[in-house]
Amino acid sequence: MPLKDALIAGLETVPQCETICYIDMDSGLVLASHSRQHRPQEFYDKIASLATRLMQSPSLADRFDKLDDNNKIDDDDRNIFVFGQNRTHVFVKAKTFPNHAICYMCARSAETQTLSDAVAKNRETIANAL
Amino acid sequence: MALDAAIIALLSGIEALGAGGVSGRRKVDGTSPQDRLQAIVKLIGDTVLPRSYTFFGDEETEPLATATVASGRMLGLSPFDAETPAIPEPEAGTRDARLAVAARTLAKLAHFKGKLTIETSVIGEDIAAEDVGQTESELRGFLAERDWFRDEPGDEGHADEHGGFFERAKRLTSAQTQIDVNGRITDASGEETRRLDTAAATALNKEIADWKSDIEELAGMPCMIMRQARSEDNVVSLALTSDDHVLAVCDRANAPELVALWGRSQKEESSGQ
Repeated sequence: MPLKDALIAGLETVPQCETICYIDMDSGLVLASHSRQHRPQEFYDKIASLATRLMQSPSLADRFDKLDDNNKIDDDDRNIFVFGQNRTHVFVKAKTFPNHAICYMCARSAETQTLSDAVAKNRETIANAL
Repeated sequence: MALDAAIIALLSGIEALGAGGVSGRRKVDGTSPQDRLQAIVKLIGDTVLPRSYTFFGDEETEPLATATVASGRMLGLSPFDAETPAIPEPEAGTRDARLAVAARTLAKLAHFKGKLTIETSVIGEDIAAEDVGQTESELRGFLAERDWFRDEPGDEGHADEHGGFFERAKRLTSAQTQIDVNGRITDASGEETRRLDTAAATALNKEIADWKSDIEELAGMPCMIMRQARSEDNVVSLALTSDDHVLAVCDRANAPELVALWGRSQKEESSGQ
């Protein structure tokens, strides 16, 4: 399955998902995306920059690690949720390439646990596509 | 051949369901909040195969809430922010607490001013439910005990919840640190090892300043950032407003309640309570 199809599948299966981006955090670029509506390039640039900051910023991750004593070395299945006033974004690292991330932009009303389960599944689908 | 009256009643019900199938949405039965609450609870009990119910208000395109239901149990419910009858909060994280949150959210939906519609979607059979959810009879029992099927809700909102988000989140978190926009620690609670020290608070604040405007544009402010993993017991969250930032550590079981509390407290702030 091509990556594009895996992203389309995510849009279908992740509840109330509006846009999915596949991001290279090293270059800060969205490599592939699929959306229910047209988004300007600046939107994708911002998503990529935010993904890099939230997922790769060593100080933020370190600070979180110090506080939660989960003692986790492999941070693969960690989700970062951003619950905003209008949208819920879920960021997760790609399974195949740890410097790649996937961002799911969903409606605010999507249920967290269902969201997290659906994201985990689509992350597998994307890993198989690559 | 004369049809039994009971069958005719049944058939007319089926027709209504069919009509909903075409438009994708159907109205929640009943006009009073109490009738609607009955209808929603009954719907949960009647749902055997996994379904996702999305609730919509009058003419609105943005959904109000989404419920995940299977085997007559409500397995998940997204937070919904509106006026709700006051109920005492049992100890956080327990089954009772989750039941209270679920029942309260349903009651809030039923009390939505205006028409309420439900969109049904089929979800995969293999929904992973770590929690057994709430059964129809549990919900019914909880709601009946508090007379929510009969009485009009009071106006007191969450009378049990006092103070801002920080104060109210204490019971859900193992530690919290509140910092102002200049990076100064203004309040802290819980285990000392899971709080920020002065240097860490300054550094974190500097970092937040770097991407706060991006988040604002993409997700809308105020917002909450939460990191969690299936395999971890602790969840770290960072709540951002224009005045301060609260970094909190909580048990994974309490995370949905913390998000719901955050949503509620922001709603109150904006309505000037």
